[in-house]
Order: sequence, then C-alpha cells, then structure tokens
Amino acid sequence: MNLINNVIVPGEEVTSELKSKNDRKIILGPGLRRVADKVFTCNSGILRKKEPNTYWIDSHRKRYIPQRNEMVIGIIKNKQGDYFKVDIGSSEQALLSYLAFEGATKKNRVKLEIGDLVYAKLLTANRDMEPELVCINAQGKSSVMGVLSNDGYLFHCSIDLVRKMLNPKCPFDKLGKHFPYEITIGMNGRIWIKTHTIKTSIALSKAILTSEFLSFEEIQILCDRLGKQYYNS
Amino acid sequence: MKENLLSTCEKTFLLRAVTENVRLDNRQLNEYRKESIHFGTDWGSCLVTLGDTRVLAQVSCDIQAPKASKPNEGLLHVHVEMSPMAALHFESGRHSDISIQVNRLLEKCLKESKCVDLEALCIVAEEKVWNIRIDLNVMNYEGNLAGCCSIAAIAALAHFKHPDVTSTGEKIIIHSYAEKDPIPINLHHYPIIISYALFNDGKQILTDPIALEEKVADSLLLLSVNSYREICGIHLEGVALPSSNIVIKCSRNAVNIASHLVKQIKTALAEDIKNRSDISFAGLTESLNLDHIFSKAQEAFQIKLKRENTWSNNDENNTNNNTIINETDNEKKDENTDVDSSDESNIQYENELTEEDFKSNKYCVKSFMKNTAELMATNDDSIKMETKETNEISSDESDDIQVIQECKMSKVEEIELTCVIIIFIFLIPYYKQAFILKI
Repeated sequence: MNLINNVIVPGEEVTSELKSKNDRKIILGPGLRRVADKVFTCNSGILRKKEPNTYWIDSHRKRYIPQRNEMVIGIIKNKQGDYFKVDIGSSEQALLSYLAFEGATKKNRVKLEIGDLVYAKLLTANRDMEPELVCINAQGKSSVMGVLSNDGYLFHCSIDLVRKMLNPKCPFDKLGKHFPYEITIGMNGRIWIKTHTIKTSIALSKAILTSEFLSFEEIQILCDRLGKQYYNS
Repeated sequence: MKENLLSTCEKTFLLRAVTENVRLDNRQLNEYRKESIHFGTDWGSCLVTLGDTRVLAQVSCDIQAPKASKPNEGLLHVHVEMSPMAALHFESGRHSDISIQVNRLLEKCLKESKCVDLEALCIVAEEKVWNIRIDLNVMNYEGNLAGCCSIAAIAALAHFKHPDVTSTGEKIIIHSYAEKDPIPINLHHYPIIISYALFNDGKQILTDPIALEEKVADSLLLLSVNSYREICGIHLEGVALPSSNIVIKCSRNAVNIASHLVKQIKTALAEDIKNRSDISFAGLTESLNLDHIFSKAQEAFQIKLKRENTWSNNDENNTNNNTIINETDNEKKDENTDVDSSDESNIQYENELTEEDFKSNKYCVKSFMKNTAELMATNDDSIKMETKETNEISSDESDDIQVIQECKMSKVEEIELTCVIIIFIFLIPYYKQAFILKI
C-alpha cells in the first residue's frame, strides 16, 4: 500500500516507503523519526513527499516544537542576568542574549520591557535543552529580525496555517498591492500585523484565519475582494 | 504550566479596539455569543457551548443524612473540574483560584437563590435525604466560564430525574428507573449568570467577554438573573464601579439575555423529550458534526449582518428617563416588564448558517470586512441598513457555491461603508478523507 499522500497514525513503520533517486540521502521532516535502521512516524497526519528525497508529515497542530533555524515571534517574559526569557509557545522558555541584537554591546543595551515582542531565529533547539534565540544573522546584521512595535496586532493560529502562509505560492503577499500592511509570521503560530486602522487589522486577521481552509485560488478571490473593499472605503 | 503572559501588543490593540467600540470577534458590544445546548442519553447530562467555551455537566444523586440545621432539606453540591484540556494553565485535581471562584459563584447562583426545591428531596426527615451533586467539566475555556457553567448546571438540573422511593415505615425502597418512573427535580426558577467586562471607567461594557477581553478588562461584573427579571446575585471583580448606573444598565440587558437563554433551555428540553421517543436517539453524539472537521472554525467566522449598535444610546436614554433607579437594591430588584422592550430587539441571535449547509457535507467559511468606525459612536438615527444580496454564483462544479453578499450602510451625508461578506462553500477532499480514515 502506498502511504504517500495518505493518512498516517503515530507508530507506523514507513521504512519501505522511503526511497530516493540516485541513492541520495533521505531527508526526514517533521513527524518522522529514525530508530536504528527503521523509520517510524510520531505524528498523525498525511505523509508527504517532495521529489527527490524529502519526506514529512502534514498535521494540524497548535503547539509549537522548536526547530533549529526557524523564525519565531516571542514574548519577553523575564529578564535574567545577561538573558531575556522569551515565551515562544513551546514547553520550555527560550533564552535570548542581550548581545544578540544588531549593534548591541555591554554598554549599549536594547531597551526591552516585559511583554514586548521580538522576531528572532532559533539558534539551537535540542530536545533536552532550553532553545536559544538570536536577533542577528551570521554577519551580525539584524536583517528582518528584532523588536516588533506594540501598535500592531498579534494573533495566534495553527502551525499548518503558518506553513501555508509561508508557501511561495500563497497569494496573500499580493494583497499588498491593494492596501499597505506590515506582516510578520512566526513559525510558532503567531502572526503580527500592522495596518492603518483597527478595522483593517481585524479584517485582515480574519481573512488570514479563514484562509486556513481555502485553496490558493480561493485565497486569491478573497484577497481581491478585500482589496476592492479597501478602495471603496 | 503557568498562564501565558499577555503581550503588550495584544493588550494595547484590544484597548484601542474597544475604545472604538469594535470587538475582535466582530460582535457588537452587547451581543451574546451563540449558545448550544445538547442533552446526553443519561438523565442530567448536558453539554453547553457558548462560542468556544464548552462545558459538560452531569448531575448525580445519592442518599445521605441531612444537615442538623436543616433536617428536612436535601443537599446540593456543585463541583467544577478544570482540566488542562480546557486551557493550558488549568490544573486538574487541584483547586486553583479560578475554579474556587467559579464554584462559589455557582453555589451562590443555584443554592442561595433557592431555585431547587430542596424540601422535595427529603425522604425521611433527620435521617435520609437526596444529595444532588452537579459535576461540571470544563472542556474548553474561552471566556465567560461562569456563564457557561451556570447554563449547563441549570439545564442539567432541569433534565435530571432521581429514582422514586417508597417508605415502608422502617425500610425505604429505591425503585429502579424500570420499576417506577423517575422523578424530576422541582425548579422554582432558572438563574443564569451573565458576565460583563467593563472598560474605560465603564464607558464600554462588553457582554459575554472572551478570554482575552476578560484579562484586559478593568473590572468584571457578573450578574445572576432569572427569567422573571429578578437578580439573584451580583459579583464584581477588579476595580470599583464608577457609578451605580452601570449595574442598572447591565441588569436591564441581562434580564433580556437571561429570558432568551431560559427559553433556549426549555426548547432544548422539549426537543430532548421528543427525541427520546425516537429509536435512533443518540444523545450527545448529535451535538457532534461528523460531516466535517472544521466545525469550530465555522463558528468563529460567523458574521452578523446587522451592524446597528443601540446599546449605549438607547440604554442611556432609558436610564435617564426611568425613575425606577432609586430601587437600587442590589440583593433583589424587580423591574417593570414594560421598561424596555426595545432592548429585546437589540440582542440578536442570528444564525446565518442553515442546517442544510451543515448537513450537505460542505464546509463554509465566511469572512468579512467592515469599515464603519464612527457608526457606533454616532447618535444619528438616519443610519440605515441596506442589505443586498448582489449575486449568487454557482460555479461549474456543483460542490462549489459562492455567495457574495454585500451589506451596505449608508449615512445621509456620506457613504461611510461597508461590510462585505464572502461566503465560501466548498469541499476539501483530502482533509475530509483524512478525517474519516482517522475515525
């Protein structure tokens, strides 16, 4: 039985399903785990394959499990020595160093209050350790990371919606042609948006949440309608 | 696990929105969420959902010795169980502040309002009485927990029947349900807790707040009201009220909501009795939407077409015009029933999704956008609503139907605009497939 694009429950062995062309290494994505020389599923969902050698499980989840190099939105919960304790929605709080900001030195510290939002990258995410965040890239530049202003709107969504939003085929970015807005999407199921009015923010957030169950064509229609409405208003 | 800290961003956004009389879920300030009441196959089992808040109630009974101070009265106990399933910061088995508070509120609401006829529960005075226990299991927490629990508790009590008992002088015989018809509990009235969140010194009063609104609000006002327009209890949390008028304003609104809810409970009970004669009666299974998996999301995107808010204006007039205000007895207050029948029209319980939509295996999502910021603030009576159903397109595939409704609000001077409703009804084949197989 072909399990690709089929429903999987945790604990199934899928070793025989995983094949790669030209003997390349198989890449296991979320939901798959290797035990000795066998591969088991550890999530329920749909087994997906991307040619030539990537496998993962698409599942609906709301809880975030930190993965290295993912971009997340965190809430500052505490200041502790040289670190901020940041809530990123995982079981453990993440650590963010004072010095992990662009241009930050021991004397020139970033001003962050408890409750503020940061957009950061996961530097380490091990199963048994606290995850660590940074707001700079390898060149020491902030690129897009850093503190998010408090006059936006933060809302929560499922992890699969985030993946969908970040899909390059997702037509939501074309909405920017119709009306200006800022958006920051964290892989931990948090989306921060900023528009001119509260009504537009709420409408946009609802549109995003609605799109969880829409196909890309339907999202396109939704975006067109939203844009048209914005012009009329 | 600790409760998640609220970010400053969420807090300020909510406050800004509330100041503009906008709510995050597009409800009006005085609008109650949609409730649903379902009964299980057992007597006294009831599932109530209020928006996303979901409570399962089960009433049970046993025979115990009465209290020495009240030898001829039955006993009534309320237990609220909050598991981490409802919200991450709830802990099962341990009494947290919030669970004790809800427990106490419900006891106040049910016991101290004397809605249950406890004397009828006496079997042998000073020796044996029925002990009624209400177990409330919070399954999901999304604000107004006490309100949802009170609906569940009172509906379950009204549904519950205890076995019949005959006394032969020395012995008492408890008859099984098959032997003799069980006896329902006598309820004098149906008290229901209605909660309000107060913002900006009581300038904005939000009915039935969601969890985020509850957290940010200055104060929470919980009124327990019955359908006879009587107040059975008041509870205030947070900062002190700036004026007593707020209580009156809220209680006016609360009595209307309470009478609506009691009506809903009674229709649900009547429905249940009707269903029980049916062989295929399935109890709580009926409350589940087996046709699709995203039933919860559907509710989240329901939209109300009517956008007129008269809460602040109308009620203010009412409070000013009425001289009944001096009856500010907080314990109990009777109001003339003719005071504000207009309020009734303000509360809307609309349900745009028809049963057909649910049953026809289709999933619908509605989303909308509206840009009428000044609408609620204005006193202008000339605000008019024109609801137009512009077009109804059926695409080639019979499964996909798009209904676009445009709802326009026109003001005399300028067309402020507008509410667009886009309804998508469609199928997601693979998700559905996924779900069926999982089941």
